[in-house]
Amino acid sequence: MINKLRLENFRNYEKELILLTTGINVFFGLNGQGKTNVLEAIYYLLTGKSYRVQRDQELIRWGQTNFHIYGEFNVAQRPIFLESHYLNKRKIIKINQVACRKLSDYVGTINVVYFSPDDLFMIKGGPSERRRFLDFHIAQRRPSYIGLINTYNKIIHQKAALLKTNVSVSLKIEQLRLWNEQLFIIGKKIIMNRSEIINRLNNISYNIYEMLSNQKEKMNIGYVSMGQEELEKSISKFSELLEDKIMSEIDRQIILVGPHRDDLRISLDNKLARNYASQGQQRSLVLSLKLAELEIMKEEKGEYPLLLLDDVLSELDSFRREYLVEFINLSSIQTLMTLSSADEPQVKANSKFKVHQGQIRRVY
Amino acid sequence: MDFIFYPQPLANLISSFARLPGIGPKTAGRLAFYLLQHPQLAEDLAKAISAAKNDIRKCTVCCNFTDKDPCPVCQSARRDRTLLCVVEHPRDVVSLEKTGEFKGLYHVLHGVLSPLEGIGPDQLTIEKLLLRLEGVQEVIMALNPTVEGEATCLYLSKLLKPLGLEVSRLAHGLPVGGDLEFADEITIARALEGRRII
Repeated sequence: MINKLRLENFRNYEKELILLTTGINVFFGLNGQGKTNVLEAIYYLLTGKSYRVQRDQELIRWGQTNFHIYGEFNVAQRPIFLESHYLNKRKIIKINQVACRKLSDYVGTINVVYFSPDDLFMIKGGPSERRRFLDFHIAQRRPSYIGLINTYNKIIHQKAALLKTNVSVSLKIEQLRLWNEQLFIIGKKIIMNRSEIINRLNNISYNIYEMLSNQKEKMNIGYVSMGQEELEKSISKFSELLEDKIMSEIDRQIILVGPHRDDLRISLDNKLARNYASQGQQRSLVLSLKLAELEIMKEEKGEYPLLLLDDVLSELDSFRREYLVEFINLSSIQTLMTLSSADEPQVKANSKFKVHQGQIRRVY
Repeated sequence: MDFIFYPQPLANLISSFARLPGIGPKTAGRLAFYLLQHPQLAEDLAKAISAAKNDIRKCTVCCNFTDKDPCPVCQSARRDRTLLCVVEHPRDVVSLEKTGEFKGLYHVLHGVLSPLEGIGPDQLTIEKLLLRLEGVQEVIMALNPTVEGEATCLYLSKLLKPLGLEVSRLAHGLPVGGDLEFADEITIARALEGRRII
C-alpha cells in the first residue's frame, strides 16, 4: 500500500504532501482542480510512464523545468521508497534511494491497476488498445515478456524492410521464410502468454460482472488469433498463414500475419460489446476486467495491487456503484478514487480529500 | 557548426574523425587539436593508417583481414580442416582465438542479414564460403544472439545442411563466472529454456 505521496511541480501541484489510508481514499472536487493528476503521479511513479501523455515534459508544472514525485509504500510488510525525478530533460528513478537503469528493473516492484475513462477505448476502439492492455498486464507479472515483445518488434521491422527492398520475388520469398521462422517462434510464445492470461481473466471477470449486474447479464472474453479462438487452432493456422500469405505480403508490402494483428473479443450476452453495450455497460465491462486483473495479481503475489479508479462511478447505476464500493471494502483493497463533486460525496470511504486549485485537504 | 570557424584542413580533419563510429563532434575536435600539438604522433598515425589501408586486405579464403594471402590461419598445417567456424566480424576471430580452444578454420561474413541496413545474402561473403567446403565436416555458427544473427544462422543452415554437413551453433545462456543476480531476465529465461540434465 501507499502511505505517503509528495509532489513537486507535477502538473498543477507546486508542493503537496498527501497522507493516505487503507481502503478507499476519495478525491473529490470540481473539474480541472487536479484530482486525476494525483492518480497519474502514482501511476507514473510505479510504471515510469504516464497514462495520458507520451512526453514526460508535459507533466511539468507551467513555468518550471523539473518535477519530483516521491512515494512511501509498504509491500509484504516492508517499507519501499520510490522516487521519480525529472531533471534537465532526464528521468531518474530511485528505489530506496538507489538509482535504476532500466524500465524492467522497477516495473513490477509495486503493482498497480488503473481504471481511466480512456479505457473505454478498450471496448470502442481498435484491437491495438486491447493488445496494449494484455501486454501491459503480462509484463507486470513477467518482466521477460517485455524482451519477447521487443524481439518480436525487431523481427517485424526487419521483415517490413525486406518487403520494401528491390530483389527478385523468388529471393524475397526465400528470405521472408527466414524471418517468418523466427516470427513464428517468438509470436507463438506471445500468443500463448496472451491466451493463458485471457483464460484466467475470463473466468474471474465473468463472476464479477454477474455480481455487478445483479445476475442479469453475462460477459465473456476470448483471444482471437488468426481468426481462431482455440489456442491449438490459432497456432497451426499461424504457421499455415505465414506461408500462404507470403505472396500477398509481397504485393501489398505489409505484414499480414502475426500476433501484432490479434484481438481480444469482449462480449456481453454473447453479442459483441462494441456494437451492443451501453455506456454504463461498457464501463462495467472494463471495470470487471480490471478487477479480474487485480484478483490474478493477488493470487500470484499474495497481495492486492494498488487500485486507481479515475471517475469510475459516473454512468454506473446505484446498484453497480454500491456493489463496487462494497467489493473494495470487503476485500480491503487500497484504492484511490476520483469523483467530480463540489461537496463531500456519500461513499463509504476511509478518507476523503477535497481537491481545489492544486491544493489537497483531508476532510474526513 | 563550429567547423566554419576553423581553417579548412583542420575542419576536414575534425569532420573525418567525427565520421568514425563512437566519436561525436566534441571528441573529434579534441583528437584533432591533440594531433596538431603532437606533430610526431600525427606523422606516425598518418603512416599507420596508410600502411594499414594499403597492406591489409581480405584473405581470399576466409575473408578475415590479413597482410599475407592466404592468412596464417588458413595456411597453418596444424589447424583442423574439418571444422569451420562462421563469424560476423574479424573481431570475433580474435575473441575465439584468445580462448585457445578452437583449432579449426574460420570464415568471416563481414556482417549479418539485415534488410533495414540493406544487407542481404549478396552483401555477405556467402559465395566464398560455399566454395571452400571440401573436406569440411562441421560448420559452427558463432553469430551474435540477435534476431539478425539468428536469421543468418537459419539462412546458412538451410544452404549447408542439404550438402551433408553438420551445422551447430554456440549455446546461449549465462556467462561463466557471472552471477545469476546480475543477469537480465531475458538471458535467464533463455538459459532456463536451454537447461541441461546433469
